[in-house]
Amino acid sequence: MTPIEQPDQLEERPEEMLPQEETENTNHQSSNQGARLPIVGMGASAGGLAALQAFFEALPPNTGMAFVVVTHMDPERESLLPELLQNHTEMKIHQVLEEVAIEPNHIYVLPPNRRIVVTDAHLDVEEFTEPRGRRSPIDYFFRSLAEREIQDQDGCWLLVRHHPYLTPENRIDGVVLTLIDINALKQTEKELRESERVQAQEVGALRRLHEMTSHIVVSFDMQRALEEILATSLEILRADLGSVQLLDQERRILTIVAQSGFEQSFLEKFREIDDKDDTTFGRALRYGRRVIVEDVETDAAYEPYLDIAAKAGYRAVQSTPLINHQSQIVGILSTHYRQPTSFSERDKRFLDLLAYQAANLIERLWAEEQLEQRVLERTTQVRRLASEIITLEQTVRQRIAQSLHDNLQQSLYAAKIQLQFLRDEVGEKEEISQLNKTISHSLDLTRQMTAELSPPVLEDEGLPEALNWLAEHMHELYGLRVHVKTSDYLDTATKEQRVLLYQIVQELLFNVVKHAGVQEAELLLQEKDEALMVIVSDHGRGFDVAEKTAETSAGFGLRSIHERLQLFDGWAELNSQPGAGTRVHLFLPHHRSTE
Amino acid sequence: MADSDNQETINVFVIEDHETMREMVCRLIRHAPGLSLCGRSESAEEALAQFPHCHPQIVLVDLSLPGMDGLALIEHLHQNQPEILTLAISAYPESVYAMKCLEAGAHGYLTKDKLISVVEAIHHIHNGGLYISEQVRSEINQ
Repeated sequence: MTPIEQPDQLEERPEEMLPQEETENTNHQSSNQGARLPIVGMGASAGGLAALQAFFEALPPNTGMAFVVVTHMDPERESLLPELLQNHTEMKIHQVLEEVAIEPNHIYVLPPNRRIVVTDAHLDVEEFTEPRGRRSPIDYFFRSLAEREIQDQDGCWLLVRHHPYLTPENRIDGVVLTLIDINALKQTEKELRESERVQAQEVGALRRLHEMTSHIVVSFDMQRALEEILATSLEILRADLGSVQLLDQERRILTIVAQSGFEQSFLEKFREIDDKDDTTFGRALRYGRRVIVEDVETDAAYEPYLDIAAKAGYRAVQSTPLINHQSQIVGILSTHYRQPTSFSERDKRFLDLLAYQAANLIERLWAEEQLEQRVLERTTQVRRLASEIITLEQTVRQRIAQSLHDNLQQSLYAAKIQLQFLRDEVGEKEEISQLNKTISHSLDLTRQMTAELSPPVLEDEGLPEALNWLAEHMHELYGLRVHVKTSDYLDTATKEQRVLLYQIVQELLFNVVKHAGVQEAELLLQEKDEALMVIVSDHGRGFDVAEKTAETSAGFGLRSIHERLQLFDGWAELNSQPGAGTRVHLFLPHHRSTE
Repeated sequence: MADSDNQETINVFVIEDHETMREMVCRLIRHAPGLSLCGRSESAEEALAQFPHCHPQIVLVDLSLPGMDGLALIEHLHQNQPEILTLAISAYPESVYAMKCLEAGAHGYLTKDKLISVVEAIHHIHNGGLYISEQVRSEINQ
């Protein structure tokens, strides 16, 4: 139990408790000059309130002292203490809730459930470390008043303890001063604080590293990711400048891809570095391990680069190679320092971690790049194959069509003329006119087959001729009048493009014949913005676009048209509404992007 | 025809690579009064070699020929022997080639399905006319 001081004793003690001042000298005489502020500590239990009130009632408000009242009451009354005292004094009363500077002519009281401690000229509150019932706030405070850590002239730490010397009559007759050497304790404390500081720093660095890693593992932007790695390196290594270089695996040349703090002349000078170079860049590449120059001015090999180092403003530099899983160097991470710098194990450990992350990133992105390249190559291959198939198919169609046109059709024309001679000889006969009809029908069929296979005119002439021929053909066979406009066409289409467009237009015109229910259609061929454009339109029945282009809708061929155009980087756009006609745009760029 | 002796006969040359077709056209010419078949060939090159010996006045030119094509021959004759008149014969409808042939110097365009009218076409051209359909004529006028 805390000894409960009697109020009358308390009143007498302050005289001995005076020397609580900011001082490093060992003279503890109360001189009460200048900034030295007498602090009066007062303790009271529940019954002490009346005594405290009487004491402050009797005290003038400008004694130049500060009063700290530590009570031992139940928490509820403690919280009321400022009010209970305020009626008895003009001094300002504070409940100490956080660290405060002690001022003269003020009264400080304890908040509920806290203990109070004095350090130099400040009061602070602390949580109890003991359970209720074993707490001694008054003792604790008095001890903090009576004890003080000081440093002597040699810097040794001492604990000074003031103790009143009481006569058998219980009167104060002097002060006992105890000095305890606490140097070892202080040193340990200092080391502990330093280690805490270092650990906090390490935790910060690790957190930063973790944050960076979580960014770069999902990054697809090499440049930005390397810049983040560099920024993190500078932060963790407390470096002033730095760079990341990538190694060209074939040429064995390092190029700077990310940098911080360097001026143009440095970047120019070290734009491309090989392993014959004697900077840390070249040396790290040559030896495949980290190269540290703690001070460029004392490193013999760095001599040729002293000027550029001075201009760039660094004295120390390290370069760590970035090594992938196949033990190949993929780049170099370098950090530069304005002052000569030595590297701790911690620094090297972090550099290794950062280099590992950077190497992983580079390896992953290179692998992705290669994959993308392969996908691109495959796509090109597939397209070339598709275009070859179209060409091959076209060759076969062409051969059959040519044969129909050059042989069968000519023979049929000849037969018609022969029939005329027969008519001249034997006169008009039923059989002759029947035969004439049959031959005419066969001619129509050969022409239709020629058109559907591939008209020879497409081979021999240009797209406009072929489209005109198609228009004529559609009119003769199906009665569809096609208005062809080809005036803005410059005839730059390749044979494959001509064939593709011809076949698609033909399908679209058949669609008009079958579905639109009209006798007219418009066909426009243009070259615009580096692309061939064809528009096939009619004012017929129209249809619901979504329905006709749906996956399940077979036979209409619109999806197939779009897909065939896509093989050549083109596309088709369909506009139609029930009752409002149909308009199909076909686009085909001149230059294929994959070639 | 009674007055056919008075009238000058027209020398006609036929160029057509399809054999049966060539025979039929020649037969049409031979049977027509006032026309004389002065020669025939299956290519433009062969025709050019024969012209100095047979003096054609009117040449029927099939447009699709092996080697030098019909259109090229029409152009060549128009520039080098403008006294020889040409009539283009083609299986293609007029819309595709008629204008091109006229621009190259042909005096008419006859599709093969109307070949029966070839005699009429030759006379028309010989009399200084252009043998083309009304549709092509209206296109020219535009």
